[in-house]
Amino acid sequence: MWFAERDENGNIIARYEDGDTYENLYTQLGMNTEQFASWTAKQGIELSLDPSGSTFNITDFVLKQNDFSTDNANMNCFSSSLYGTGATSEEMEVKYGFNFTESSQSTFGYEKTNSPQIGSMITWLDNSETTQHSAIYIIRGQDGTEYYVGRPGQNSNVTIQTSNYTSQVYPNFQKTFLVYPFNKPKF
Amino acid sequence: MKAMIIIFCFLTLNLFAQNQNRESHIISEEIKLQANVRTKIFLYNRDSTETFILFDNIITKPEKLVFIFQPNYYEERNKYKDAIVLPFPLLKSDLYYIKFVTKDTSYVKKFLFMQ
Repeated sequence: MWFAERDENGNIIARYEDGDTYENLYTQLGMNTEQFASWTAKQGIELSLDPSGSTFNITDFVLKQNDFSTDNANMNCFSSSLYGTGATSEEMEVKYGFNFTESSQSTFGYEKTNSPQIGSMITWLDNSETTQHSAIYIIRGQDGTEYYVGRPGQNSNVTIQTSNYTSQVYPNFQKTFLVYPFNKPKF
Repeated sequence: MKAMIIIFCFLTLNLFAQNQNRESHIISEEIKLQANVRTKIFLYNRDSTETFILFDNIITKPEKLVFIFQPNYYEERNKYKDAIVLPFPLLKSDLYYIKFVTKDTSYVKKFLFMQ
């Protein structure tokens, strides 16, 4: 069901895979048929019966903000996740940060959800409940691959990551799903 | 043999990725101090309920100043032989400002501290 990539302008693009349908996409974006038709019409996209070869810019569904720091020094997965989900007004350095506990999540204003939804922050916790990684959830592909966006590590650029990658690097880690509410002020 | 190579690569990748994140969180701040200039460094949170004077001194030769987070301070401080090493306060999760002040300059740097 569609896969995600990032274009040269940093936009998140959903690209058609063989066998995909529009429904596969708009349900993941949280829309129904009418909302999807209205959304595509507003963007001047004419939908054909066959979605083959289609691409959609879904950045606004995934990221609250997309001007990540161009200087990646001292930036990491948390800086990009907190900024991309709208918790901070600019991407800023996050220090320490290996125990993004419920208390920390609450300080920063995050709320837990049971399953990943587009634009939610995912954290990977090891056996000692230490948060080793975070990223922002995009969509799930036909083969079950999940796509995330964020910085994969310290001083790295914002990229798309897949669940194939994270399950190798963070095997058997517990995942938590967090959302930053719209009405919360930014840090 | 192939399987061993794959396992080795996987473990290396795993450790590398985890260390990439870990390393950066040990040194909290690394600052170059000017000689014969009084330097003050303040730390405070959003609502100033947490405030610290981290440094207020004049040194006679240019030196590097390194702050290390409290839990890592004793194990890490000897790694920086050529620097003044001080412990960084154990903070609660919040947005913090570090303000650097000398006679001629003053600037503020923001960061988020996550416990």
